[in-house]
Amino acid sequence: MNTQQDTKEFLHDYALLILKEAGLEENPEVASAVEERVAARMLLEMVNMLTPEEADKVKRSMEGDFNQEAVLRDIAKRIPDFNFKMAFALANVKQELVEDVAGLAKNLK
Amino acid sequence: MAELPSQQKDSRNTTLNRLKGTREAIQNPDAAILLKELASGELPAFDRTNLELLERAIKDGNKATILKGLHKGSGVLQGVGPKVVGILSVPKSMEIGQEYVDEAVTEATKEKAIEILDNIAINITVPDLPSYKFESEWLQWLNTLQEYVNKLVNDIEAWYKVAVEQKVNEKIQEFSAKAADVISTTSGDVIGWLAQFPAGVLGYLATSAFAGGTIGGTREWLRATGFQDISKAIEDSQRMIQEKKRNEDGSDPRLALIALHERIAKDPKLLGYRLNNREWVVFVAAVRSARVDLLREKTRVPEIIVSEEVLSGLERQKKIIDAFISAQTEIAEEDVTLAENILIQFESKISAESQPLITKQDEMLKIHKVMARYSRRIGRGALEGTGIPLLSRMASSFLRGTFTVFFKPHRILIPKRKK
Repeated sequence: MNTQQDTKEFLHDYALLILKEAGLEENPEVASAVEERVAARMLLEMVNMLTPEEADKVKRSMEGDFNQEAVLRDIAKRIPDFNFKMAFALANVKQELVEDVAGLAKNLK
Repeated sequence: MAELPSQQKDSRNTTLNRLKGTREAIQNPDAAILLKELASGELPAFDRTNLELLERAIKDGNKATILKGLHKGSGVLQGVGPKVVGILSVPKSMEIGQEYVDEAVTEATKEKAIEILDNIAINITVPDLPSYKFESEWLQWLNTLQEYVNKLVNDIEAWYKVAVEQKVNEKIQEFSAKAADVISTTSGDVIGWLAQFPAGVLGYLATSAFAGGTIGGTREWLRATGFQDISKAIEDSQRMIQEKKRNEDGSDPRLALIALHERIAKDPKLLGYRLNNREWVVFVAAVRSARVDLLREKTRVPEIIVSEEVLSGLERQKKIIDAFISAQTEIAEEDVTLAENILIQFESKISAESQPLITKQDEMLKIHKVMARYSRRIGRGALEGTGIPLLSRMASSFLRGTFTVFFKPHRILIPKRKK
């Protein structure tokens, strides 16, 4: 199994976990929206961790022949405690989403 | 007999070799297959190089020394490992999050393998190689070696399941403790009204524009650029988000902030503001917070939908779910937009403090195109870079139920939102 597959399954499982904690029955459309939220938030959090110089480097790579994987590897290596900061961000967005989905579950009753 | 031409001689030798091979295959098909696989380097658990290395290890009285030397290269264990549990091949393709697996599994496996090797009684007479590869002595040696390697694999496999469980548990504990440290150092009281920004923005600002908590100096800077007016709108909006406190005239300050941003962003002269890139990031981050808060409100209290009593139960439910998904999608888009805004603003070798806001449309368009196309992949890639997906899979595979526990410690560490 490759890492992309790991991530895909992880995000799906994570979305289902959020739905479960929020008391919502499995709903593929809602789970998919939740997955998208998490992915977008991870992007934002990662970009926000950059120093201006690193942000500039990423920006330039996007203006040219964008190599997503190489850029990501470079970013991850440069950010101190990247893993832990991202884990915190992940837990943060989870808390938000559990609240949101719980609101949805309540409205559906 | 006349000497055969060289071409004919080669052909005859080839034919003889084939016949010999066929005879061997009939006599001992398993050995023939083993030899064929060995010759092609396609043995399932190890390649030819590894076999030779193993042979050297067996010949040498001090196996541990040789095996330790193999760690640096493509040694025996790297070949055997993937067969054992199908997981050691993952770190090879996963450069970013490798440290977890290296620490949690690979090194431990290698050490244990040496220990197991040292404890296995080996009684193999190694033939003189390569005398002739179809000799029965060589075949017998290979069979013995295969048994030996199988025992090694079986022993490592048995140990591995226990080790992974133990090591993953340790990593989970370590991860949680480290996360607590990071949270306590990055979410301190840098500036109160930044508390609702995404964690990353907070971390970024803490290490750059507002480093050292020089709030007095920051205020001077705000006045000089005209940002003070905007910061008032930001503060009002944040107060609404945190305390649900509207403006005195009853209007919603979140909407006022969003409207101000629209007006400034659409004016080529930025309404006369001389914002620098840091101020712009703070501004757009606050606008994002305002928009997200409004969108989340929509998902929590779908007042319009609820009032439509004429709808049947199913129709009503569908509308509520559609509204939820729509709002969540918009929030995701807000996050991507903010990421775009941050990236656009920075250039190296220029003091970020004094650099004016970048409004070059062509530059924005380039970034936007990439973001529109790759944002999901980048977001997922960022997550991959943490090693969390891999770790969670390991945890869920070996420790049923740990997946949930893995993230629970963080929940109590997140600062509670002010009501």
